[in-house]
Parts: sequence; structure tokens; C-alpha cells
Amino acid sequence: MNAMTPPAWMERLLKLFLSVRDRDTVPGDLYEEFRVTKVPELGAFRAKLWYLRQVVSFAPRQFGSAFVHPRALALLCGFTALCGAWLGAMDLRLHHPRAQVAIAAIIVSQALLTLCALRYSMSLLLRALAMLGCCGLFWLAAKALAGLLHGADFEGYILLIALGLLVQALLTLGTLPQLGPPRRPAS
Amino acid sequence: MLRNAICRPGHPDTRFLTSQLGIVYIVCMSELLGIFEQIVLLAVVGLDDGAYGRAVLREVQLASEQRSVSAGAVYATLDRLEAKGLLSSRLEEGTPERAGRARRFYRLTTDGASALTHVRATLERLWQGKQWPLEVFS
Repeated sequence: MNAMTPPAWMERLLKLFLSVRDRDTVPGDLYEEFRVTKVPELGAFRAKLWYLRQVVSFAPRQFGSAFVHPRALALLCGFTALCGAWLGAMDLRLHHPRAQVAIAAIIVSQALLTLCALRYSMSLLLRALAMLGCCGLFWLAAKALAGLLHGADFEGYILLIALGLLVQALLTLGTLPQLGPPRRPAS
Repeated sequence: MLRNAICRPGHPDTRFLTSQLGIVYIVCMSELLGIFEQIVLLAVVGLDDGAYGRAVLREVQLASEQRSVSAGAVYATLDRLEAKGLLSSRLEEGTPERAGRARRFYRLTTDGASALTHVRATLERLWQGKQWPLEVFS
């Protein structure tokens, strides 16, 4: 590494944020501007700070796309729906309080609602309701995790379901806004 | 021209816009270009054959007088516009200043030109007869 080249770790970080098709061109653009314009203009240290700022500007895109996975969301909804149905069946069989049955019903309903929103992505209402329901999922997951932390017994299946609900909520909020009506080809 | 921006009623992303004649048009907002997309497309048009990522970024920063426009936002918009078919790109061989890395140049496609034209026509229709500067009643 010398003063005229950006630090290698920054380039590696930048490539992590880029899609495969951009991993040559975007670092090339930045490299050229770094050498030709920024180092002579700002000096080596400030040019590196400039480079780091450019690298960071690509990060939101990567984190945003990390939560856009319709297929994973559908699979997870199937999983949480089954878990909710199993919890509900057990609650009924063991004569648990009605509130616990209601929680199981909420888990199943939210999973089915999200699956419908994925299937009928044209419906803005379904998507809005499914995203609104994420507040409930966050609340349920937080309550379950807090219960595990403070409870006397550790119940692995509760941890699994709580983590499932948490990831389902994140994927729902990341994926559903990206779905929309298919684009009509421009005439 | 505006007819091209009108879509069927019941479309989930419809908004109601009223023309100066009081006619209510149902417009698919999702099919109109966003402001930033328009700026990037116009920067590409302005740069002609020299429209690669950093040049587009500089043009956008100059035109919008916003030095804070980030590189990530411009590159993401270029990718999105290409995925929508409004831009096309070609790779050119790298130079020693770029350590031999390729450079991607963008060009407006026919669909891109058509989309920009639709947006401009829609805005012109909506602006017709409006006073400038706008009067604000408080």
C-alpha cells in the first residue's frame, strides 16, 4: 500500500457491499478519482477519509437488500403457522388460559396474512395489514425472549419460535414494500 | 400524452390528480418516475457518451446543487433504471489510472426516453394555467 492507492481493507469492504457485476467497475471509478483528483487535491490522509465515506455510502443498499427474500419469507411463514397451530392445539389440550390460545391464533393469522400478501402482491391493503402486524410479532418475540431470560426453565422451542417471529417480522418489513404490481412495458 | 400515464381504476397504487379543467385523472404513481430517477436519467442524457457512474454523480451534484448526494444512491439508481429497461450499459476496457478495471457507460434506451417524455408531458399538463410563483394561503 502507498499514499496513491486506497487502503486494501477499504476496497475489500467496498466489494462486500457491491453486487458481483459492480465489483470491478465501481472500485475502478473510485480508484481513478482517488488517484487523479482526491490525493493531489486533499492529500493522502483526507483522500482516504473521502474514500471511506464513499464506501460507507454503498452500505445501506446492501443492508436494505439483505431483508428482501420473498421465498424465505414464505417458508418462514409456513413454519410459524405450523408452530402457532401446534401451540394452539397444545394450549387447548392442556386447558391453558385463553390468552395463550389467542397468542397462537395471532401467530397463525399473521403467517397466513403475510402469505396472502405475498401471493396477491397487487393488494396494497393486504401488504399494509401484514406490515402493521409486524408490530405484534416484535411484541410477541420480545415478550417470549424476556420470559426466557427471566424464567426458571429454559424452553428451547420458545426460543426457536421467538427467533422465527423476529426474522419473519424483519423479512416482512424488508420484502413487502418491494413487491408491487408488475410494470407495464413503456409504449 | 397524459393518456399513457392513466391506468385502470382499482389499481392499488392509484392517486387522484385534478387538472386545471377539474377533470380527475387516475394516475398510476408507481409508473411515473421518481424525481431522483428523472435527475439521473437527465444527467445520463446530458453526458451523452461519457455517462459513467462518477460522471453521472458529479452531474447530479452540480445540477441539484446538492453536494450531499451519495455515490451509493446514484449507482443504486443507475442499476435500478437499467433493470427497468430505461437505461442500457456497456463495459469499456480499463486504463492504468483505474488499475486496469473496466468502466461501465450508460445510455438512455427508447423506453427511457419514452418514460421521460411521459413525465414531462404529464407535468406540463398539470402546470398549465397555474400561477408562478404559487400562491400559498395560510
